[in-house]
Amino acid sequence: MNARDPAAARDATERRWRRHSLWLLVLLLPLAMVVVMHDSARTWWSGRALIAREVPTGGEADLGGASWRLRALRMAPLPAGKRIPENAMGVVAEFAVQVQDADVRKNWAGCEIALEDGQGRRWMPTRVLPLPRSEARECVLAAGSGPKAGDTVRIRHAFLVPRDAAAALRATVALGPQRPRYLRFAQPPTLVQ
Amino acid sequence: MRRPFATVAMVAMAAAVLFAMQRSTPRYQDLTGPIPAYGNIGKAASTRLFDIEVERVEFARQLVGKRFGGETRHESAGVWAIVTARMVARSRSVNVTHAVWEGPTGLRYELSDRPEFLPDLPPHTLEPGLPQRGRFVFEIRPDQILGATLLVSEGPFPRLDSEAHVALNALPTAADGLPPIAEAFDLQQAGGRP
Repeated sequence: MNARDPAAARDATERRWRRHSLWLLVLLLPLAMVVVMHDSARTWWSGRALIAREVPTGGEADLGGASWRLRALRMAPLPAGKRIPENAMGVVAEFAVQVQDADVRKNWAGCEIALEDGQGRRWMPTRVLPLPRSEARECVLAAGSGPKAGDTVRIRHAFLVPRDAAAALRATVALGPQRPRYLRFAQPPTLVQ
Repeated sequence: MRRPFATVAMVAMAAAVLFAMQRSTPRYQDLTGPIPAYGNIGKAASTRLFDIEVERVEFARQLVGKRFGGETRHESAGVWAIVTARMVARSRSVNVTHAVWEGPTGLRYELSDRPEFLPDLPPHTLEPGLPQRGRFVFEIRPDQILGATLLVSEGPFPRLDSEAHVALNALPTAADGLPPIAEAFDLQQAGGRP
């Protein structure tokens, strides 16, 4: 009797520990995955424009320490040419941005102005269309020029889009530190000739 | 007597299995390498970012272009291969910068950087919904013409991302079994548009 009892007790303890370990595994495996994948997941999450904040026509919205207003969104059909494919429409988006926080270089890092359609397609700025000179600049250049709080900067980009999709396009603004949130302006493009 | 024999046989079998596993384990480079999207001449290859359809492949001994108003001629000890393709971006604007001519024996030729400042050469900026033509120019050995594959990707090192693999088969051949090789190819023809 005396000889068997400690052995049975040992067996029970061992079984309990095994059961605990098994449950711990259920807990620890997902935890280990979270720890390993956390960085990649965060990079993925903050690397793209996913959550749009709609800005009504004529309205303005704050993003990255500045107030963004879409001054004009114009489009014009382009004749096919040397670097312009057939059925192309040129679109020019111009923003007036009032800077509130002076650290624009940090706030606007990775600035990306784009056009978006209802199916999630995205058009990035093109260099094929030469624009007339003006005080308006590209987003990255405007940020690099170091505007101060209270300044209003004009930002302008040109795009090459298909004619049949042009009318449904919306201008978007995404800044590095603010991603995945971005601004989408409801104002449709106006046709000029 | 039988037991040691069985043990030796088991050990030998285990060694053989381990050897086979070691030999057949894919390398990290292969596991995380490009994911091929297949196509051939006339049949588009559809990658994650863009579609590409090779329309024609031409060969020439000399490449003629214009630079600073003057005519430039590039000669080659091998052959110039000029691939004309129709491409379109899928979900976002994309810059296609990289292409490789992979010969039948696995020789890989990168894009030639000799014909610079000429239109319709990479990088090709593609927009969604706007198909456009572009060219890829390679300088290759004549014995790498037949049975080649064109590999096209956005950047130079596609990892775990799709890469177009276009089989350049069904090329029209002349009497010598090779496709016709022109004396000169003018990259400016038809106003610079392919």
